[in-house]
Amino acid sequence: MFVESKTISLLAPEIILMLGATVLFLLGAFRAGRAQLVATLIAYAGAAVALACYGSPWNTESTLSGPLVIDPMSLGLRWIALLAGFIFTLAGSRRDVELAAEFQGTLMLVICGAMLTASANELVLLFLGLELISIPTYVLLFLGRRDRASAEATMKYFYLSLLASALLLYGFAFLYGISGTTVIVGSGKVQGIREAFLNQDSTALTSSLFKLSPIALVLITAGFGFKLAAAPFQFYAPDVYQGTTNANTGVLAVIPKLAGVAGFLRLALLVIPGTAVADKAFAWQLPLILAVLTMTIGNVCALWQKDIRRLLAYSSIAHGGYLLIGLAVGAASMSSGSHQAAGGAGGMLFYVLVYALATMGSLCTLAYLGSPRRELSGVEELAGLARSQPLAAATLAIFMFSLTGIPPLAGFWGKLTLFGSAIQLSAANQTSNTSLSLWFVGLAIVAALNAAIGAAYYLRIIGVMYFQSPGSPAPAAGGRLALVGGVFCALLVIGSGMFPAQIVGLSLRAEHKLVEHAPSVSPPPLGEGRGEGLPITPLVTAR
Amino acid sequence: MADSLLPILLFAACALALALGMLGVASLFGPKRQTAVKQMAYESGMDPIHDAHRKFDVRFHLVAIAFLLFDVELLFLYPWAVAGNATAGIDAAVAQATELGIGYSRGLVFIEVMVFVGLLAVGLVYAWKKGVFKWR
Amino acid sequence: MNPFTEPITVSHYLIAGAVLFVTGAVCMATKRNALGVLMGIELVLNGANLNFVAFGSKFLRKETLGLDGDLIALFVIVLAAAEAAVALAIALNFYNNHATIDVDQADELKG
Repeated sequence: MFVESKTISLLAPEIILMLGATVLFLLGAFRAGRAQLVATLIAYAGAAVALACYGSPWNTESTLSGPLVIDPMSLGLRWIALLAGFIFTLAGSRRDVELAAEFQGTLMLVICGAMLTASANELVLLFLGLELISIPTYVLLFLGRRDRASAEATMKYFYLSLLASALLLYGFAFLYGISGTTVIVGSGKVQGIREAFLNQDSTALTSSLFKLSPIALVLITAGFGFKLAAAPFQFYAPDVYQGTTNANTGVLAVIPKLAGVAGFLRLALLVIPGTAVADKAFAWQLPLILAVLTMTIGNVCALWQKDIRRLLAYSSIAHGGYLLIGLAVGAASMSSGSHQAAGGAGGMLFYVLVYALATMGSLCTLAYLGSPRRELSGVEELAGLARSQPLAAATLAIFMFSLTGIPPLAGFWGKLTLFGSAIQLSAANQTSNTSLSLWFVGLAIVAALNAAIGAAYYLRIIGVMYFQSPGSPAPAAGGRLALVGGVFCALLVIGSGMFPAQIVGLSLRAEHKLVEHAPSVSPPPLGEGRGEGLPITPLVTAR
Repeated sequence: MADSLLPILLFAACALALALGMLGVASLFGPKRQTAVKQMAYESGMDPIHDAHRKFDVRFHLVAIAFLLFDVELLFLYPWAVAGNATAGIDAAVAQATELGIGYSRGLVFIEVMVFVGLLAVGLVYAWKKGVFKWR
Repeated sequence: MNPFTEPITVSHYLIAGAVLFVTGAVCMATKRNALGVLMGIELVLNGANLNFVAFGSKFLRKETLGLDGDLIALFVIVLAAAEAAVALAIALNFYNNHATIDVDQADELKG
């Protein structure tokens, strides 16, 4: 595997962001001022231009280069990450001048990490991308506020996130040991982890190693599950979100979810066929049970929350549970030997977009409603917002409707694709595998019940905003740019609700390219690659 | 068996002789002006015996962390330095890459390492400007 | 079978790695001092590192896997150093607010 000049050119957006962050840190050290906001926006614009040069995700073929993979999923997730960076820059645009440049630079590093994670085809790069998200996130939390609650939130997040990273790394060690390579999807004569699992040879010396694969799967699920705030790693989210600022909450709620989805799809989904040999049902029962637990805990606990960030934290947990439905569907389909993800992976990708838009928009709007001195935190502080801040109230209402899943908005289509994939899978296996079919019908029912419970607390926020008499008005001193970011997200939510077909089509195409096995390769495969001579069977024929 | 252990024994003997010899020579020829301060154990300029719960200056931590980061980052330069001259090192990789028609050269590797060193230098400038190395 | 004359195999290293992992996890769960918890994390990371190096060694398979395992270990060491740097800042910030680095005192956010 060569990191050649082409690989580096494929990393241009990340390199631009990294340079931007460096410049910002230097600006922060030498002269703070308005220059930093301009520099930040220029860096994001440059990265967007560089990303646009790789073509539209709608007609990208998958390409492997060095440790990178460029396919519709990686391009799409990179666009979402860039968008998130832009929105949070706006949300944090008005801060005390002292550490503003550090905030923007650190945020840029987080975005850069998310973009790397989205296109990593190598355990090392994947892990480094995840750490490039985590470590600057600790700094962001630290920069947010300096009070008791913030210190406690930072401490909790730091240690739990570290534990999750360590679990993930331990899982990676087993994957590396079993397959003997760090490449995830191989090509030509170079064998990757995926090929090692598919071609496992029961007579080979190393076949006993494959018995370790369930351990690897559990550890990896734990590590990525933390990023999704999935049970049993969900308990940090409410405390941490409550203890930090609105903009930071947005970063925490969106960026790790993107990374977790990327990691689950790139790695866990491809490991699953291999673990299924040992125990067919385990590979999909694990994400299924986690999904049920996570969404139920999230939705039920959100019902009696009075702090808005705490409420959104439980909402974020619940949506993590919905996302896991997609993984369970994909896993069940992959482990039954069809090597298709049955719409599960595509549903996950579409849902994470929908969730990200609504969540970052609502936290951006909340950041506008607060002030640098006093963050908006209680739900009751939103009372009568419809009269004092009609535009902000309307955008918030749109996000809440979208998160609930009210039909014309994006959230509805997201839930429809995810729940629909579970029901389709169940219908397809009705005769061949009755227990699987029953499990997934049950999953769909629980998910629908959860969506109904979720409506209660989202609609409560809308009720407070529109039907309660105003108390003390919200300061609304978070900067006009934050409101612009919120409105921009609201337009995107409405737009993707109006034209869902294109985006669902893109996410299904991304899923197809993800599980497909004919990436074009640059550089051409090496002659003396490891694992030479092992036959690689084609996995799917084009649908 | 005994033959293979001989070098280790020799090494141990030499080490022992050197250490004892240095101590002996120092006690023979060294000046003996003992003061209370000189009798104290050396602990980076701090009072070695005090209450265990005494706080010490946070700037020790800052310098230690800055040192740790730059020290550990050097781990990445070490493989590069080794591969630079080794037979199966960078030259072999470049030869293989040219054969396959890949954009990979010694220059590219050098630029990559220099970018890394440059980023470290920027970190140093940042720490300096923020006053990490200022003691007062 | 005399354990002192048998050759050391990869399994021995894996067991050592697992022991490090479990020790670290227990240390994280039981320590009350923030820096003690950090030490637990380092143990877990090093358990994983040991696994990487052992799996990558030529004693497991006939052929060598190259330097991949060792390189991951290098990266992880550097990451651990970066995390230690951040941990110090976080612990100091906590100390400034709570006058202790006992993690059991981090119990105000709940509901």
